[in-house]
Amino acid sequence: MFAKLKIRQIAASSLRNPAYLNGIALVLVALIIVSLGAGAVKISPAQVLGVLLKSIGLGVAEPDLAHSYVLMSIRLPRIAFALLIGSSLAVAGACLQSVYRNPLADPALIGVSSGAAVGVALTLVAGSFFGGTAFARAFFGIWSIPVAGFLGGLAATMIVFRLATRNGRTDVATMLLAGIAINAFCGALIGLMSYLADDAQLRDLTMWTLGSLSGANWTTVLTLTPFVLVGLVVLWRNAHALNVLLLGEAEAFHLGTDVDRLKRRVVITAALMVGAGVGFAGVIGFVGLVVPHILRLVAGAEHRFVLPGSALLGALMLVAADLVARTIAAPAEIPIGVITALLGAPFFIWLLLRNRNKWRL
Amino acid sequence: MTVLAMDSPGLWAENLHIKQGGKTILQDVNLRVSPGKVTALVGPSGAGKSTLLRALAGEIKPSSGKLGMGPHQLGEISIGKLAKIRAVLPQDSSLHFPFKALDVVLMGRAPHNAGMERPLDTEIARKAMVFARISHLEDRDFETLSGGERQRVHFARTLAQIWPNSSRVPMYLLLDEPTAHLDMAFAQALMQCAAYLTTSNIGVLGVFHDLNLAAQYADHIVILRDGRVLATGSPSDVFQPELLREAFGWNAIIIQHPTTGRPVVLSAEGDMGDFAPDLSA
Repeated sequence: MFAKLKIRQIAASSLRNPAYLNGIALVLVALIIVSLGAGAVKISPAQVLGVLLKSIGLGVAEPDLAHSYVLMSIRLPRIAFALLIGSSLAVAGACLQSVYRNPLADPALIGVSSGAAVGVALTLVAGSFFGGTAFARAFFGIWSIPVAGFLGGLAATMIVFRLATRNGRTDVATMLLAGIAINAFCGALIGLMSYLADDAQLRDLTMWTLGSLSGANWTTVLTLTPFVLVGLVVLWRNAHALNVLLLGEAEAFHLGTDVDRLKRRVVITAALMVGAGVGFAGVIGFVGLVVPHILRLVAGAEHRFVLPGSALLGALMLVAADLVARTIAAPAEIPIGVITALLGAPFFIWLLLRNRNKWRL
Repeated sequence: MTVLAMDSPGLWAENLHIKQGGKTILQDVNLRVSPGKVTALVGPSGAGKSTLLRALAGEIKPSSGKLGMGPHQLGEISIGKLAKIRAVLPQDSSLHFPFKALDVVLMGRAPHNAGMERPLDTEIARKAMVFARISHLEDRDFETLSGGERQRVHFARTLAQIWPNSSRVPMYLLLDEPTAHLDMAFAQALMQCAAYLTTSNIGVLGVFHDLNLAAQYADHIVILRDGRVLATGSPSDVFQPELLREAFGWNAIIIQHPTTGRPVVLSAEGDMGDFAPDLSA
């Protein structure tokens, strides 16, 4: 009892700007209810709540069976999927920006997205020459694409990290350059695979690169959940060390931080989290870049605000983008990566112009 | 030559050699920063002053020789433990993220609270800001401060880090050209703060380009040249025209400060003399 109370006190005292966080959470909940109701089968918010309450045994009225099925088997897992991927992209972005001490860093910078794309491209295209695709299908079944994406992303990140590490010290500038080089190399491999692909493979590959949440079901959600939750907890526990790291690596050392261990932990955790999501949903850009920025503009760079804020706002942005993606051209569905890039890129340019004098590498 | 015993108090270097990229930066350096004293490191640019300070901060491992604090070698003390008793003010540090000045000062308390700030930490951060005369900047965004104001916020952060407590264990404050961005009044004020800290068992080591600032506030001065200790002693011992000529290759006149009695260093050279090139050609 006492211990529980103490934990709650500590959690409360270490969160910053709870008013903003509560505000974002409230909007997120409202958006989830709206999004659950939107689509080919329209369901009113009251009916949505009725089904949700019933599913946890609190319902009063018996909900419509069709509504119940659409919500519980199709829309709810999809929204859970959006929540997981949105929060992991945004939190990973916020943390990597701190490791690079550069507000323009993005999860893609450590090679995780392009590495994942290479993994997927190899599985889809090159594998067919050597019977590899058949092998992967036999071994991983429907999981072959996410597994390939995950492994590819992780491999690329590890190469970037190893290239930048010498004598146990990781040089952030080298990591940035190594990331650019690996991204370019991966781009060439993907180009080669696209060239070799037949029409069907090319379409699969392109669709994956554009990002989509249509692969969501309870199995994918449950598989992704541990990666995201563990990642969020690990990064949250380093929130204060990340604050100190923003002062500079020498300064962080003077203040008692084992800087190289911190960098290693953050980069690997971010790669695991993002890699798992990218494997399932493909490349979804700009969330990791833009979300932490909005938060810093609103209420400062303190990580005990930016990290929980990124988890909430990243989730919110992806639920919103997914809502647009599946309703704007219904019954067709626009790839979600297209939506986030269409909205994210102009916003990013605006940020860039606004802070032109302030940001330097 | 070994002048320091292993069990000597203070922050010390013994026969310290440091090589970086095949180049010898420091050679056979012996030095002690005593608690309760201000020690000043002076010398020409490239003499190895900043490297010596960073070595004493634990950032750089010795190529040979020893670095230590009290009875322990520096390498034996954990990073976290070291951070509780030793603070470093770098020449300049950049911070391109929006933080309030008070939040930056509070970061100095990180080694003591593992990220869970207690009311005590905020109280100490505020005291440090009063001490550094920057209370009025508390709620300002760090990014909007001037160079001098930022330097003073960082100074307050280092003060918060080693804010004296009842245990009176010896602590150390290392300052790398602390007054580079400050005008005369703030430079003096900062040095007064640093000198005042010595009354609670804190040892201060500063790297200075301004010899007169060193002469005015230091108890002990070390002149470094080409990675070696050229002279060490009280300000009046080491600020001698011959030694300064040997260190800097410049002729100086030493006079006595009319009120403090400390040495004041003036240049003895007027125009360029024989070095003047013919600009009319």
